[in-house]
Amino acid sequence: MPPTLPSLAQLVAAIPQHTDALPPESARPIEHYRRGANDAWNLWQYFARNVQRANIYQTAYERHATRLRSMVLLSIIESFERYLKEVAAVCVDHIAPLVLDDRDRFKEFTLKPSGIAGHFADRSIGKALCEGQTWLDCDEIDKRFRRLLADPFDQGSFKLFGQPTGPDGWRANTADTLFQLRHVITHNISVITRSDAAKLSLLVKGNVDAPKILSPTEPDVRSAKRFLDDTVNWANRRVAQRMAELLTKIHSDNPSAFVAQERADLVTEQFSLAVTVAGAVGVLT
Amino acid sequence: MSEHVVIDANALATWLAKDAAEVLWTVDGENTLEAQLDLPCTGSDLATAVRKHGGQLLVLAPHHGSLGTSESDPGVLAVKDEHGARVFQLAWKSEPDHRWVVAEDVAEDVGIGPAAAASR
Repeated sequence: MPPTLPSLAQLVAAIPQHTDALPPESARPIEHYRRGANDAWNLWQYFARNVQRANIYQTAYERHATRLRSMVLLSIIESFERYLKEVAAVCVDHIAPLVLDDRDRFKEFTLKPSGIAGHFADRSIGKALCEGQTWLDCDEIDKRFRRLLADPFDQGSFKLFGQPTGPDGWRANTADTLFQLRHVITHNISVITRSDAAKLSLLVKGNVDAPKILSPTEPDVRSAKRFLDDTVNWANRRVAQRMAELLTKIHSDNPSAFVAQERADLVTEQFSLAVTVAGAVGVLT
Repeated sequence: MSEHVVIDANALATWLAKDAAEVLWTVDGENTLEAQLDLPCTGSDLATAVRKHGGQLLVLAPHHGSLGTSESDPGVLAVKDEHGARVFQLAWKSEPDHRWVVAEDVAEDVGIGPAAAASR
């Protein structure tokens, strides 16, 4: 008898079993971002460096290269979204056990009982709150961080993306442009619909044609990565600094809340950046 | 001629910082360096990360190829691809089976190496 072939349902059901371990840097959001974004960039570079060596059909090469650049651009933007949710989760895990000041700090987050159950093994309220949300709108992201990093009994004034009229005000608009391009690639397989074009026109303050197929060039992908690399480094410094200020405030109100040196070391490790908490300077190993 | 040459990480770092500081490089397959760097990065930044890691490196010959032996000038150990970009195939001596690549950045439309660096 010929061997019985597994059904397509069984074959698809087996896909989630085909996995690799998380890399060690996944515990540090900025290093996890770099790993994801660099891997995506290296995929393009490997293709560009090596595929042209083969005898290629130029038309097919150009078509596949364009598709691959879209996928790489998408991966880099997704790495940025993951950075935002991971760094927010780190903040929640530090703050949630220390402040019971009001009902609004976590107001911007939604959590269902199944979300708690699903993250029970992680012992991380931050992951439970942050992983299930999308982080693809700078206004929304600003609101979450403002409340999350507010001083006790305060509404908060921290804006992750800075003031719109400040020297870094351009970052939110640029990030929102990339988030909209992500939407185009993910949900419309790179077709810019009239709706997408209307939103993109507002963001780039210029005409965007539709319907069209998004065809990013190598300089496009390179520019997006340079912007996101720079913005992640900038945001990481800002959040780490604000976290250190908030922890210092909490410690000054209640010095027995935590050991300053231990906390400074932990924040330093998680942000890959030396911070000072209540006078204790974190040691970067 | 040899299938690999052993050099000190400091020697590669010194060469990167001195002779290829403004060139853009990418690192493919070395997780510690990739987690520290925004790629592509300059030779100066890569030199700092390689020096911080330290240790001994194997510079490996390409398939069906061999290398000259020159610890004093790691630059001659690079292989050039058809774009003229320099590529090092490397492994830490402590992990000889884990091979990775340091390659001069290939920039399709804005030039390779120094031109690309100037455009950043």
